[in-house]
Amino acid sequence: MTIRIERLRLRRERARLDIARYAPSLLLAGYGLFILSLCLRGSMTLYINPAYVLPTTAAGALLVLVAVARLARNPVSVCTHGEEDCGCETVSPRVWPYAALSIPLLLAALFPPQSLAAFSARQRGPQIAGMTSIQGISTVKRVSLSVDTKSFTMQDWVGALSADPNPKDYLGKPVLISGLVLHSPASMPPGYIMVMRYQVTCCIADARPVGLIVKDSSQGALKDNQWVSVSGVMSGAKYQGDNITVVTPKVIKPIKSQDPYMY
Amino acid sequence: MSAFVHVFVSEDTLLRFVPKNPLLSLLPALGVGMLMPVCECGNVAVARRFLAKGVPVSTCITFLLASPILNPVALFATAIAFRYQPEVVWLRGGIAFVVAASVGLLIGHLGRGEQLLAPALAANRAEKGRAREHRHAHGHDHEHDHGSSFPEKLNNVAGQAGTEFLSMMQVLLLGAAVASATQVLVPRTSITSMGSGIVFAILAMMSLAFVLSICSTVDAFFALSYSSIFPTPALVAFLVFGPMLGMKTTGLMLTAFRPRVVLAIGAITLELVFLSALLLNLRGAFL
Repeated sequence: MTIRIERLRLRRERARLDIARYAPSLLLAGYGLFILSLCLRGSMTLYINPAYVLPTTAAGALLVLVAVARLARNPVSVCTHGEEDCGCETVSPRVWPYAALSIPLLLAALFPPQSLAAFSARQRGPQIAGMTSIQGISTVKRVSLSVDTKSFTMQDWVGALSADPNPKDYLGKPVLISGLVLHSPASMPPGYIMVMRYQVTCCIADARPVGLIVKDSSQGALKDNQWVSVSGVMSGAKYQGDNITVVTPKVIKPIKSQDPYMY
Repeated sequence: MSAFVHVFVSEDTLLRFVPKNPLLSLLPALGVGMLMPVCECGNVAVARRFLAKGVPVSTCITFLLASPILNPVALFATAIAFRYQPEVVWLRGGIAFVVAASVGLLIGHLGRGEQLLAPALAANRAEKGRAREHRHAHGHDHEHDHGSSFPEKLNNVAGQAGTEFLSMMQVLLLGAAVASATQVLVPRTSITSMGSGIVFAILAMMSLAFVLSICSTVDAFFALSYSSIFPTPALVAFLVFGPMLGMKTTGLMLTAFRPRVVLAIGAITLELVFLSALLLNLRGAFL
C-alpha cells in the first residue's frame, strides 16, 4: 500500500517536472504563433500602429525560434532554489505561473480582436476639434486655407483646428469626412453629434477619440457606432459662451464600417 | 538585451566601468540610459541583470528611472511632439536627470546592497559576489561558465532570454491587466477634472500617467493632446513621472526590490516630480 502511494507520488512529481520543463517552450511558441497569426489575419493593426507591424512580427518569429532552440536543447534542469523568479537559468518547478501565462492566450482565442468604438470614446473623453480654446490665443497662428478643403481627411481637420481654433477662418469651407457617430451630450450643444475616429500614436492604449461636431439632421435616427459619411460646410455656433466650429451637413449618409484608427 | 549582458559581459568587466564613488557611480547609469533605446517595460530586466552582477543599487535605480526618458528615441519623439515648445524637451530630460540621480542616491542610503533587493535576487547577487571573491583570491582573471564557443553562447542567450521573457511576462501581464481595466472602467474625466489650480493640474496629470502607463517613447504625443487643458508644468510632470512609475511597471520593480524599497522609490519620485513641476510653475510666474 505504502509502495503504491509512493509510486503515485513519484509519478505525479515527474508529471509536474515534465510540465515545468516543457511549459516555458510551449508558452513561448504560443505567444510567438499568436503574434504571427495576428499578422497573417491582418488584425495586428487593431492593436498597434502599422509602423510597428514588421518589428512585432519579427519578435513573434524570434519567440518561436527561441522556443524551438529550447526544445532542441537537452532538457532544461529545474530550479531548486525554492524561490520564484530567482534569476537563474533553470526553470521554476511550480506549475501555476505557466497556467497564469496561458490565460491571455486563451482569452485571445476566445475573444477575437475588435476595434475601439463609442463606449471607449466616452470613457476616454472625446476631444472635439473646433472646441479647443488654446491658452494665449492671440499668439496662435491663423491658418490660411487657400487649398480645397474637400480633400481634407479627419486628421487634416483635427490638425488645422488644433493649430488655429478660430471659427472665422473656416466659415463656409467644404467638408467631406467619414467616421463613427458618438452622442456625448455632456461635451457638446444639444442637437449635435460627434463624428469621430481614434488618433493612435503607438498602440490603442494611447488611442484618443477625436472628431468634429456635426449638426444632427437625422432627428436622432443616427445611433452610436453607426459609420457615416458627412458632406457639408463649416460654420460657427455658440456653446457655453464660446464660439465653436461645427459642420452643417448637406448629406449624412450611413456607410459600411471602416478602420477607425488614424496614425 | 538582459540575456546578452548575462552571457557576454562578465561581472568583472561590468564592474570595471562603475566608479566606487557613489556620486560618480551614477554617471554610467545615465550614460547607458542615454545609449539604450529601451522603454520602461524593457529596462527592468536589464536593471535586474546589472543588480545580479553586483552593480550598486543606487546606480541601477538611477538607470531604471532615467533610461526610459533620457534615451534618444524618447527625447526625439518629445522634440517632434512639442516642436512649438522646444523647452519641454530639455525640461523633461533635465528634471528626469535630477530626479533619477536623487532617488538613486537616497535609496542607496537606505541600506546596503542585498538588504534592498527582492530575496531571490539578493541571494543570486550574494552568490555571484562570493564566487567573484573566490576567483580574485585564487588569481583567476575572469569567469567562464556560459560555454566558450560563440554558437554555444548564442544558444545560452536563447535559453536565458526565454526564461526571462516568461518571468517578466508574469508580472507585466498583471500590471497590464490592471491598467487596461482602469482604462475601460474608470472615466478619464474623473482623473482630469480633479479640481482647479496648478496643484490639482499637476496631480491630475501625474495620476493619469500612473494609470495609463503609456510607453515613454510615445507619451509626448499623448501629453500634447492635453496642452489646451493643462499648463506646461503639469505636462512636464506627466512626461517625467509616467515613465518612472506606472501601474504596469510597479509590479516589475517588485521583482527586483523589496516592497518597502519600491514604496520608497515611489514616494520620493512622486514628491520630487511634484515639487519640480511646482517650481517650474513658479519660474513661469516670475518670468
